[in-house]
Amino acid sequence: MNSRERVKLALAHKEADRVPIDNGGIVSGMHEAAYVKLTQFLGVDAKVSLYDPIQRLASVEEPILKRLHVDTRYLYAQAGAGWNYQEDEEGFWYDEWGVKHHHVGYYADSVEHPLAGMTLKDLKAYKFPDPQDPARFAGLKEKALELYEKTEYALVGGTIGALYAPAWDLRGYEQFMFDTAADPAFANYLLDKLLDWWLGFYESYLDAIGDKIEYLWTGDDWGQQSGPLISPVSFRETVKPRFAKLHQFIKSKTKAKIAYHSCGSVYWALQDFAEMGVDIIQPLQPSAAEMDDSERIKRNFGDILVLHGGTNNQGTFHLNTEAVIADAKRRVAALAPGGGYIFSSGHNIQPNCPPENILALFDTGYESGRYPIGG
Amino acid sequence: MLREEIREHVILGHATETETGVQELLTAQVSVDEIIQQVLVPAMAVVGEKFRRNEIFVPEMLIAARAMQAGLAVLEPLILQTGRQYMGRVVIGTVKGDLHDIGKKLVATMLQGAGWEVIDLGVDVAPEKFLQAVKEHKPEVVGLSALLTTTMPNMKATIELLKEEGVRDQVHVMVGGAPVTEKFAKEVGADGFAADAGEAVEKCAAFVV
Repeated sequence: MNSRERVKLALAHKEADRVPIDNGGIVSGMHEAAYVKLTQFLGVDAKVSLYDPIQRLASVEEPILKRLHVDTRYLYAQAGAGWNYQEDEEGFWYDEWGVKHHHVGYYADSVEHPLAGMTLKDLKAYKFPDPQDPARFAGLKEKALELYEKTEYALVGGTIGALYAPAWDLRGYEQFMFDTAADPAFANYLLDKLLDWWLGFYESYLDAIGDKIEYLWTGDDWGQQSGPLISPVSFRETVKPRFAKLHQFIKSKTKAKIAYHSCGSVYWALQDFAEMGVDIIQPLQPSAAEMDDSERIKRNFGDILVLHGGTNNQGTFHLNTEAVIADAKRRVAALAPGGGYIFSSGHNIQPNCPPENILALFDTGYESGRYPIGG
Repeated sequence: MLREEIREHVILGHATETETGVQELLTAQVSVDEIIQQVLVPAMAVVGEKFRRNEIFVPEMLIAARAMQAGLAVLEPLILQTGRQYMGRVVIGTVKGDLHDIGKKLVATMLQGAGWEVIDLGVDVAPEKFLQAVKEHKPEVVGLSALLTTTMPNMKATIELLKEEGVRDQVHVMVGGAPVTEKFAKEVGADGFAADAGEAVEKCAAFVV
């Protein structure tokens, strides 16, 4: 059985030969520091190329992906024409949207926000970059075709369509959260403007890759460590219908499944995710409230959602190898039976995850993930 | 406006109404102490409790904090005039390598509301900067915040530096932030840990009462 068939079966909630393994997404990738240490540990010469300068994610090269038994390969859109990532000596850089970021320590965060201080009138007149700029998709169709025909990997759409995350960058986290409570007209207008952007983007993106991918990503963070980030009522009123519209549009363009990312404590939202057209949910962060009981999640939502990740990145990856293995075994045993599970690091592998733990994680997913589970 | 109504305005995040209400109390000769202790602090305690119980969330917390700040702003000239300090002084900051400050700012606002003088060092604060601030401001409490598991070790580094420089025993060190736990707080030698802003206020008060 090849990787593509394995992923297809998992997505159809059926058991394959083993659980498929994902790496390489915006939320299933590897921090450059962890990657460098891993390649040194393996004695491989590595070339670090970032595909996400905010989270500092390194493109994991083919030999390493093979070593980690990864079944997926990613197809990213590129930046619009005229923009490239240029960091100054103090670590400052601007993204394509005019958001200023500061690279401090292991990550970069937005520090200046082009929509800060704007009124609704200003916002209405403000122009975002062109979502259908051909430079974003140049060569992508050809690359998709080549990977589809020349490899047996499951191809995945990498770019992650989100509403609140860009709103936070553009407006400032605190100000946008404040807007949602104090100035909903502004907040909702911005969300609609971002939604329109993504509709335009996915139209072109899926024209290029829609018939070659098995799944693609959207998402936003709706959980904090201890519970919902925003009230479930406002989530259902303002967020859910917008993502439902985005997902409906995506499904009109492709048969690929939709993988949705949300960090934190989101047990309360799992039914909502399913109702807004989500097929796959990730990362099921066990260290957040109500998320540790993988058996309960599988029992109550395993039929309507494919579960992705579930390993305890925040709680175990920086500890010892035994803890990583024990956790990975536990998650596989709970989430894999009957299919409908994709193994991954449950969010990006962080700089404090030693190479031994990375190998132990993926090797455990590979070995314990053979069907029948526990057999 | 009744005190109960003003409290409700703070809880619901009505900044203008809170400001008006506090003005009215001042005009009616109610003391600054009384306004803080009987109106603003209890209102924010309710906000903190609701937040902890997942009855309100980040946006509601933020608008309540701004309403509280609007009320405090009315009182500020009077507080400065009398040079009073209610509970003590807190030096607070997000540790080195970490740019996250929403949680830290909420804690700072809550502490201000509860009568603390707060010196906010901002984000990405090196251990040396905390040390310097401790020497300069002589606070009762130092609050260290981190959102990242990768920056949490800098809490320990900061506490160690305070020890090396012989000022550790002069302050109470509090740690907090999403990945921080009670166990971690003990391991790094902090005096206290709070899971949220409401708890931070309670813990800080316990240090000085």
